[in-house]
Amino acid sequence: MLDTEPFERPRPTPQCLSEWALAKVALGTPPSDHLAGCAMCQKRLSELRAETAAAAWAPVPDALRCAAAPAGLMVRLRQKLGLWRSLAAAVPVAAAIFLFVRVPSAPPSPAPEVRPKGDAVIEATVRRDGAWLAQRTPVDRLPQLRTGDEMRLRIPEGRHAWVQLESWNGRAFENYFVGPRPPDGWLPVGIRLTESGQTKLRLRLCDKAPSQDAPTSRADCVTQTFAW
Amino acid sequence: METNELEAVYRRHLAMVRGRARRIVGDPATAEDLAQEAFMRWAQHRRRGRREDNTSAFLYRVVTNLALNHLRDKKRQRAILEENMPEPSADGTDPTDRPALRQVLGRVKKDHAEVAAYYYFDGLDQEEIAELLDVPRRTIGRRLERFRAHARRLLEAQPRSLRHA
Repeated sequence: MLDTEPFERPRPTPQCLSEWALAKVALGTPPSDHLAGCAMCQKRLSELRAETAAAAWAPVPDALRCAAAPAGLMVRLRQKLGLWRSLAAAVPVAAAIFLFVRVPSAPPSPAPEVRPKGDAVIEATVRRDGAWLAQRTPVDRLPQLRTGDEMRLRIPEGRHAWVQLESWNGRAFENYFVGPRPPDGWLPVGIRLTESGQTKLRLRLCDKAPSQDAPTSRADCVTQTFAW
Repeated sequence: METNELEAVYRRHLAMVRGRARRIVGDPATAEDLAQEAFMRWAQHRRRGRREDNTSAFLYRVVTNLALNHLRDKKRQRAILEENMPEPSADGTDPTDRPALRQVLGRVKKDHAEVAAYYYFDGLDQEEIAELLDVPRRTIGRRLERFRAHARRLLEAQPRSLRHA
């Protein structure tokens, strides 16, 4: 059958083990008889074992830890991730947590309430009724938003390595994401506008993570508050 | 879920999951993202109180489906089409027809593409695929035959865009 195959197959010989079979051996399944006498399979198995060993100390991403964290509001919201599957193809992210915020009854105020000199331009991608309303658009240039719009925020590469995103719950700001800037810049938080009222988000960007021993100075951080 | 279990599953399977994604999509950065997404799906699965019989097989199937979804994305298909140069693998052993295979996988029925991805990217035989997907071997054979027929039609219809000299 090999001469009729439209594409090549990676097995050096028909007797050789598939990648899946070799992966299982690398993970601890007892090896087959063929493996003992096949230099090619042994070589590939050595490579797979080396790769597995190298991953033994890989740091577990924060987004994954969040996904596995105890249940609560975050979990219920994160299950909305499916709505963002198409975005994930263009903008891969490890996780998304939906934050329900309010949409304005009045026209949006496009500019942030606070924008210190030298702050970063925050980008947003917005989806409405399954179609893209804006993609990687500076937040202060977004079109008017309405109930049902879904938004993701991105921090472009720059000097800011640490991010804190908070949402106004009517009484105080609540934390929704705190941690290092994701490598691709996309915050693992999805925002869905659900009801009338005012939406307020506060974003704090710092050069490094604040610590109790050495609190980050104001000069090291910029804070922006967005209201719609 | 215990943090220890999360770390153990992640570290134990990361190389396999990432490698699987890498073979299908070609791009290491995309493969990394897809691998992370696969672990997210696993965490969600556990959070819903479900337990898989075989975690390795679960992750292997999930990352395969995520990678195939990536190939099916229309914008991505255009990008693949523009990749007219063969992609050398790290060890130089990847066949040069992978971009064409990716292009075809993005255009055929998903259950046919799934079987073909196991068969052509990882060299699984039909029995292995049947066991992994819990589908009769005869069904796997039929899907593979349909994939081959579809692939040949596409290759004949668009030789310049799908084939490599």
